Amino acid sequence: MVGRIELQECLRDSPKFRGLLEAEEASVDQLESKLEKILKVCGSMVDSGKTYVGQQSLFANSLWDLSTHFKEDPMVLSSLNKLIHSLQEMNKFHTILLDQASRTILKNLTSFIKNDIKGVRDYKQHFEKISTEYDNILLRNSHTPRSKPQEVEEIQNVLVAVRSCFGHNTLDYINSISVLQSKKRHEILSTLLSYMHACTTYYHQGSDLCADLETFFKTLADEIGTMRGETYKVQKELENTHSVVSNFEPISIKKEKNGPTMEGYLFKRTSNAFKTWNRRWFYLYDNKLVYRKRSGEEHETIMEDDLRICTVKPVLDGERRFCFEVLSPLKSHMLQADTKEMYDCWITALQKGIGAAIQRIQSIDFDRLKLGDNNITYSNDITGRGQSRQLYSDNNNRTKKRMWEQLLKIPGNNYCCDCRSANPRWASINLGITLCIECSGVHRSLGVHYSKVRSLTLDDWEPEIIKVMVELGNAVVNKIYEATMPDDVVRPSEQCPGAIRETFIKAKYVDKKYVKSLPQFNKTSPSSIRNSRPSSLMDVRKWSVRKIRRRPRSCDKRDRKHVKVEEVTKKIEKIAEIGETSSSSGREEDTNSESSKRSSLKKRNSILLFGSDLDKQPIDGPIDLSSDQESTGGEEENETVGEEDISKLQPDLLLYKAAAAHNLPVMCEALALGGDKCWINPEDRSRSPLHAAVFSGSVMPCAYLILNGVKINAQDQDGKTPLHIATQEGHTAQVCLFLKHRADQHLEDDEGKVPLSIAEQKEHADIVTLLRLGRLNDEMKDSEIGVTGDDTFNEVVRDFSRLACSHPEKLQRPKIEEDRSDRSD
Amino acid sequence: MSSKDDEYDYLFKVVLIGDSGVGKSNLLSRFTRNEFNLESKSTIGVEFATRSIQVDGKTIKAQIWDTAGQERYRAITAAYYRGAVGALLVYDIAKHLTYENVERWLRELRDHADQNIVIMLVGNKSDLRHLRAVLTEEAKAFAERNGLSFIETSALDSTNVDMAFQNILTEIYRIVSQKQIRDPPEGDVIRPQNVEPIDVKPTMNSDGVRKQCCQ
Repeated sequence: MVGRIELQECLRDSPKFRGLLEAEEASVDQLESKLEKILKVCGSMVDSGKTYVGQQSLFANSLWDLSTHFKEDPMVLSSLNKLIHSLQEMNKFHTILLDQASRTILKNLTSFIKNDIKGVRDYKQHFEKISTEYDNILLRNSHTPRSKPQEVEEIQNVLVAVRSCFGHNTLDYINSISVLQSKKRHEILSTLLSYMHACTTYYHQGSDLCADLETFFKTLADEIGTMRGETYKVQKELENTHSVVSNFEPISIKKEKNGPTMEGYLFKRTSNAFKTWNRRWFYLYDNKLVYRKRSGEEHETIMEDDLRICTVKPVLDGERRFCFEVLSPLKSHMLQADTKEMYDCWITALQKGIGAAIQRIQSIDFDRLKLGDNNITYSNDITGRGQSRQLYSDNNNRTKKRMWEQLLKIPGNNYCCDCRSANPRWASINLGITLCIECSGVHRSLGVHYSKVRSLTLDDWEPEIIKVMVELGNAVVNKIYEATMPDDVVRPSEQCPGAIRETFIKAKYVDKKYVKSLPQFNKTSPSSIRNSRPSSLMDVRKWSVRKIRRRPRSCDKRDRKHVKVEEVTKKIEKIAEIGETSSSSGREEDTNSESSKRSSLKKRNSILLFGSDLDKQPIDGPIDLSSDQESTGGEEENETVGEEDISKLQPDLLLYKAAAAHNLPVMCEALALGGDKCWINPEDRSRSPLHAAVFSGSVMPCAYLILNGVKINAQDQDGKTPLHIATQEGHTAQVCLFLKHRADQHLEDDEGKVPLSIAEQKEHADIVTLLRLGRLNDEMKDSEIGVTGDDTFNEVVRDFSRLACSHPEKLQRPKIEEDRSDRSD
Repeated sequence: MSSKDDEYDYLFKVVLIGDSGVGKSNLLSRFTRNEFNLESKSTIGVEFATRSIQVDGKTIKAQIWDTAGQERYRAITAAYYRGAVGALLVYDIAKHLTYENVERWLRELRDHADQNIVIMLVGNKSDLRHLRAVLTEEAKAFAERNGLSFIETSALDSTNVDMAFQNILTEIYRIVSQKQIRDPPEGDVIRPQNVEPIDVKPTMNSDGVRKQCCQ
């Protein structure tokens, strides 16, 4: 028997056949449901497998991430990478296995159900249909009466036909079942077998991979053993360090060339009403007593910036133990050490520090004299003190070197401006020059309206005065004050008698004998001028002043030119050469032989340009001398101020225009030529040079004018003082400067506004704060007793002014920046 | 408030801080000038006012710094807290967000102010009963947890305004006067008691306001 059911039985459609058929159908149904279950389970197995593989790949990625932690440790890094790589390889195998599972089991069994079992079902349908029809025909046949022979014959024909059809269909159905039952045996087994093959491949690959890695694993295991040993050793060694604790001396004194440097924690008493004691890290550095917080803030605070004027005193009668006091002529600081030993060390160190500070200054002076050039850097000062070098880099933005060393680097400044003796220690701040002690004495005798003398080494220097000094310097100033000095004038020397010195200085600064007067145009007859000047000069019709800032900005550092002093100090440029107006660039320089002594020719449109030949000075390093600060940022290098007709060229207007161009050398020349610093410009709302300086946006022309005694409260035609204008323009640093110099903030302009109401209207928080602080200070000053209030005020104003001078960007609000950019356009 | 402020035994700097619009400036004007302005504008930078009160027969002059709550009106923050011995941290009882931000202000105080600064939490606008968004008990519990004193005020109807300032100044006075007993000032026998060192800045002091002579 080939089929599952006997053919005879089928064709007879016997009850036995029907019983067998039912059994077969049930078997097929059962098979189908079991296979479907397998498909479902296998599907979820593959899915969760994929999830697992996905997670494993994330795991590997996180391991890669970990390996970056060891990027400094190539040994660990390479092993780790190899392990991760193997893991990923294994992961890949796993992915293939899952893929195979879905390829074999899912695909084969699904097709078995879809094609074979569904085929059986189709035959079943046909069978059932024909079976019903057959039954109907049999029924009709039985009903057909004898009396109708025609009908009988007809139905018998039909019956035969249907029976045969039923027989065929039944056989088809039975056969399909039989085929299915036979096919299921190998289909299922072969499916499973191919899946098992996939598994075998998977394990083989894994085993091959592991076999390859075996040597690596072995060496790695050895290395791990070594590392473990190292850790153990380190642990052992570190356990021994505990012994250090008991022997630890909490005092560190570094005996070095430049004297003892001490550092450590002390408690300091605050100067506010609470007298809170705070623990701070103190150290002695560069003649200063400095402290900082343990954490949080990077910067340190200078408690005493010149130890030479300090003394140390033990405090024995207080409640607290181990207290001592650092006294300077003006301040006292209460400090407390942790132990008696620390206390002794600090007192000794401070006393030695004070002694060393005094000595060191002298020895550096000596070095300087021996070297006798201006290339002395602070390296002298810094070598041998690793501590301070580090500090310097830590606090790049802070003044860490004495001002005089920096000021002496300004061209010409390393020799006295008047007698040329080396290593000047004094300065005249309103002239912007350095002086030896003898000459400074003569300067003092001239009176402060001629010269304000300060010590380079003993005085502190406000940032704005330093700026003024840097803009000028001996070389620049002498080119103005000694421009026409005949060779036969007796110049004072280092050792000369006082009378010579006095005569010279008076002639130079009081009588201004050697200042070259402004070139005359259109005033004298052409013939008289022809002898001394090129005829082309007669065609100059306009003049202007170039905007300038001689300090390097941080952005200039890369291409800063090291210009020789002589080049820097060429003073006035005369422009001529008509007929060359076509050369649009107008930047070529040409030396005119007839005016070569102090001028160069520029092929420009007959404009006399002041201050165009002043180049940047070769000043390196000191941050507080360089500035990207100033509110004049964004200005082009070669900008000029508005041109004026040549007939108006006179010292007063020159000073005014130079102030507007924040060009201090030209301002200096204008003052030397007798320019009136209190002159008011009738063509510009009756403003004074100080007003013009405010509009320049820069602090230095303001500071320079104030040093030279301008009226700080001068009102223009609208009743506005410089303070009004600085407020209105949002120049915080200038406002700070004016308040410091006691500008009157209660003056009203013609609209009845005081600076404060302008600042409020402009919503400039910093200027509002400064002005109100100023008022508060005045109020506190009126009451006689309060001294504590002033302290706070001064500190706050100092913070403000320091910030305004060194980091004005921090004071800029977005709105104000807009204003600025508008203006500079 | 035309009291002569010329003589005093103690001068205490107190700062008013808190979100914009909680009523700091009105608290100040109520305390120093007995004024209230319903339509006051945002403070720009800092405003200052002083008033003296009596504690234990001593005259205490309060120098009050009213700071801008709005970020864009604030200048250098550290300056506000320098030398301050008291802070009134104000929120608006009708605006819960201003209360939530109290933590932020406390952090700012910790970063910039003296560690012993006396802080008082002030729930202002207590007249707005029907709009209350911060429960008194909640704020009180918060103040206790953080070691602050607490008071609810209304600058509009003057409730507790004087009390708030009086309390904080008294608290500061107690601390300072006790401290003086504990550690004698300067430990310097030559100097008389209770005298602050006079801090005369050197001529070169960079920013001191200096009188110019001979000009």
